[in-house]
Amino acid sequence: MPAFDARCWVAVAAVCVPIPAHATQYLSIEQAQRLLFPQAERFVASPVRLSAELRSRIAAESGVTSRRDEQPVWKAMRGDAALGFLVLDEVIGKHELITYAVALETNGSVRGVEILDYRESRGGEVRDARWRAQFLGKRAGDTLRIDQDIQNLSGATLSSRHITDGVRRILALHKLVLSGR
Amino acid sequence: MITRARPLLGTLVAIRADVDQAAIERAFAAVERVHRLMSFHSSDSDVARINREAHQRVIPVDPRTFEVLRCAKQLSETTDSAFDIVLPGAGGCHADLILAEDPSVRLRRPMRIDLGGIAKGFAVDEAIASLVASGASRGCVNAGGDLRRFGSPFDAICVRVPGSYHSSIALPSTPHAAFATSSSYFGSRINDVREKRKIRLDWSVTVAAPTCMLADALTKAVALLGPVPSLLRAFGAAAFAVDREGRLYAAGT
Repeated sequence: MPAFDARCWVAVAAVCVPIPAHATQYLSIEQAQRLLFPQAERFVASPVRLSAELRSRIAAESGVTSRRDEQPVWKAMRGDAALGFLVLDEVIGKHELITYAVALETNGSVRGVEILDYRESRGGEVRDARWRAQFLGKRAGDTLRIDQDIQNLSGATLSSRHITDGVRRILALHKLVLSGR
Repeated sequence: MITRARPLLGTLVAIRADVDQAAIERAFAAVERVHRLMSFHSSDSDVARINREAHQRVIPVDPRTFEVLRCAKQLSETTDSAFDIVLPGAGGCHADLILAEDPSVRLRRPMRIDLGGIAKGFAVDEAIASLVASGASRGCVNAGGDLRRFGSPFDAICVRVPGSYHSSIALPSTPHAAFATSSSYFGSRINDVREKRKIRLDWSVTVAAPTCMLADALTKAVALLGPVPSLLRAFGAAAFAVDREGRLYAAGT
């Protein structure tokens, strides 16, 4: 390990800034819908119930396990034509909880991925259902503190590996369920 | 101001600027283009073609790839390979990387390069250039800690205290546009090709530089060499270190 050699550096009086439990909201669900399907006239809610059997088939197909019982899905419609699906998902990293939306064409190809919310924890609470529950249903303007500081945090721990896994899981959901709708 | 984030370059890339959605889309497209050109893993990137064929024939590359390779080669020479894009193993070194202005690349011997330590910073620079071209007067692009911004007023840049979930340190203000931080925050390693090993860093290095490409690459050099004054001067950079107790050190400011 390269040891830190203080002789090469000048000590500077440091201003310690507490890192807040980061919560950055980029988009509401409605904004994500408009952004990913600008031609759509309406979005029809068509959530998918994830039975234990379906979850294990998705896991076999994608190699990624699902934790939730229901997957929020909307069908983007223009007139009578389906333009595709918008699937809302969240991934839980070691230190972060990310809500994101995947837009799929009707044939199942990925049209786009947008991050809706990013929350960084101060420790282990990301895996704690109660901690996550405080964000449920919270959207722009609610009591949730929306913090912009992450914009200026160099050395952030943002990881996208979980999102890549999540998208794979959603593609399996399309193949097994959505392609038939 | 509008802010959007997408998973790109193996991290979350957040773009914020006073522009419309179409301009944000163009900035993300600039990041994606860098990813396509310089990914080590996708088989049709410039980097993959160089690694596959450039020891047998001259490989024409995108001007952007060329710009990054030229900067990387210069940094490898200046830092005596503390920063290096040539992967250890095949016995080649950066001197075996031949760049021609047309632009094209040739390798003197079979070897592999990886732009992972510099392309992310360049992608940030490309997104910033796109925002400026779209008429933005303020903007910030942050690719998982490699960040660059323009248009005052600027908020302080904060750096996480290594090993802490709770604390960050505000850096003193500097005239630099771009910042990048390297540390082993959560088990990551820094590749030292000189010794053919990966090292752990229990303090963090932040480099402030005129471009994010330079900041990104120089963090690795400073992590291994310390804040060599001639190195920082040569690239118009400054360096900061934060130890696990939250003490801040500076060099080249």
